Amino acid sequence: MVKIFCDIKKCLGCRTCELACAIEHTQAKELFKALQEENLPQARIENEKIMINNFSFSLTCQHCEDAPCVNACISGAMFKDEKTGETKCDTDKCVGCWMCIMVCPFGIIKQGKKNAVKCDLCPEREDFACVASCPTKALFGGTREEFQNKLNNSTTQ
Amino acid sequence: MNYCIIGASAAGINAIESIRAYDKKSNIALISDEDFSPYSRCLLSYLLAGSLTKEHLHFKPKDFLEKNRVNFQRGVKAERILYKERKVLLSDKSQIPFDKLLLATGARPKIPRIPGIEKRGVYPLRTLSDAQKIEGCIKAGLETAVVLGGGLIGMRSAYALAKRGVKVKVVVKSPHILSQAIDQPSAEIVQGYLEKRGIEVLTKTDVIEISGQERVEEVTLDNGKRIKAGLVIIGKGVVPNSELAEEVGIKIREGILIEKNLETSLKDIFAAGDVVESFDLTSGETSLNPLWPVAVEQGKLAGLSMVNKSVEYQGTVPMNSLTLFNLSLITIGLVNPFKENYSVMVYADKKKYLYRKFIFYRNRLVGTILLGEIEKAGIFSLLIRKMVDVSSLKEIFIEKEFNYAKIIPFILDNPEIFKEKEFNDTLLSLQKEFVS
Ligand SMILES: Cc1cc2nc3c(=O)[nH]c(=O)nc-3n(C[C@H](O)[C@H](O)[C@H](O)COP(=O)(O)OP(=O)(O)OC[C@H]3O[C@@H](n4cnc5c(N)ncnc54)[C@H](O)[C@@H]3O)c2cc1C
Repeated sequence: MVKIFCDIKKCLGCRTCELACAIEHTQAKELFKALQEENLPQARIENEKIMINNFSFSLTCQHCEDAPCVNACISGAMFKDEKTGETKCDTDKCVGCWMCIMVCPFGIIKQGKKNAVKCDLCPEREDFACVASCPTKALFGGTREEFQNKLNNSTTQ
Repeated sequence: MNYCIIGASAAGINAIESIRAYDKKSNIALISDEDFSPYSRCLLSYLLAGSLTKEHLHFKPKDFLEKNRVNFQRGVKAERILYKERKVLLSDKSQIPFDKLLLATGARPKIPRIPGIEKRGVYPLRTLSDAQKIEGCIKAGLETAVVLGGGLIGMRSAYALAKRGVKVKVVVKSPHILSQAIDQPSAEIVQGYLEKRGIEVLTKTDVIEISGQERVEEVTLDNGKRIKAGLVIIGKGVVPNSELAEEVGIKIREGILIEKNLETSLKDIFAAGDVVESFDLTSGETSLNPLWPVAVEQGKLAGLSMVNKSVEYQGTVPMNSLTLFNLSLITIGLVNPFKENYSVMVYADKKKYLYRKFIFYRNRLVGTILLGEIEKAGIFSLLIRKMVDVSSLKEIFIEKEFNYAKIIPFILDNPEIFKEKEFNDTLLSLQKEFVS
């Protein structure tokens, strides 16, 4: 399962990822124009302060294997992609009942105007907007194993 | 192997998914007395509100039954279980054999005994056919309606009607609406909000008569007041459809009683969803928990149990989510504690329609009411479900900045409790330093 990981030790808490994510999920994909769209840009990644050592880190959907949001969804909008394991929200089916918000253990599903807003792993681009924007390369898009390898390599260097 | 499932809703359909994940070959028969393909009844109030169409009601892909090779018998009722013969008798006189049987028969609306309740224009909202009758009334130019009961279904119905331009009055016996789901102060905030938007709430009163020629025209309250109504919606709660089980000698109380593997007191007969009683992790009692996610989880587990996977159902945390106009409410766990030794923490800003309440029992979070701002609700349901000591965190629950990062120290300290891989994933880069 590919998803977004954050190296807490590299994260400065600059929130560039939030902005990049919000803009990526607009029609214009450009800040100035995006601000004129009917739905204001909304980030699906969130930078949060941890209470230890002043760390902060960026968090987005963990695409849980046994996803509580999928189990709670009353409309069938939230589903697991059988091939990729990604947790997806079919916005056409979503009615905005917020049952998913009620059960997301990471508190990372957002209320959109009419439907749930969550990380969709940037289907319109090859890479990930948040990862591409991160000035310290704290963010990583890939599998758990790949991220673990990356961490191991950086500590042995 | 013959699997038979009675009830084609949240529990029944999810059981099929589990069974087919392990058993591609055996026969699965699915029996439903509703003459529709499976749909989500939770969406019926959205259908009435006009925010979606009938096409949106299915909660699984349209080819689900075909793909899973299900023998779907719709519009027929399962009338009797012949346990020794391992057969189910249907209303069309046919018989379905079973080796494993699942009772996913759900619940039906409680209909109060009020003179005139049988009149046309008086309906519960439980099935698509109820919704179609109500839709018929609206289309025929309905102007006024009365909703009996201020529970979740009552409030959802009232909202849907208001969205369609109908003048709605909600008649509630309790001192406030949503009396099972929230507390008085938060309910009053919601009531105030609704009244500004044209939904009138009459509390501490009850309907004693429904009158009209053939159709309902007005209702009479116990205080003598009479209210014009072209439609009455009954929202007085539900009762489990446990008769089939009772007749064959399965142990029931209000609902069917189940073991941890979702089996009933009769071997090879399982039960899941609104028809069962289950253990409430927050109150410590076994009770009816007629909720969609509960039915989904139990259905999935029952399916696994039926294909002989070992299953241990721990119980459930009751919870619900309600949005009326732009006001959202989430309630989780025990919100009106009745025993001693509970402590509460409340934050309220009535003008902004904000309310947050946290209920603790021996340093554990056991319940919350979140009104207005709900986005972090899932973290609270996690803490409630995991039953961890939250004394070091309490103070920051009310803060706007509360988020997942704040519980990270906790997760690091309790890896055996937060054992799902996903928690670990968020901490991979921290671990070397803090877990020594
Ligand atoms: C308007 C509305 C809104 C709701 N909103 C929410 C919500 O937002 N969140 C939430 O958690 N819950 C909600 N609920 C509750 C939720 O719908 C139920 O908890 C859920 O449907 C239970 O699923 P189930 O499979 O146990 O049973 P049911 O959905 O009750 O289905 C049981 C099926 O079995 C059939 N059946 C019964 N006996 C027989 C028989 N003898 N032979 C053949 N068929 C039989 C019934 O007709 C029915 O079709 C809502 C309910 C309603 C009505």
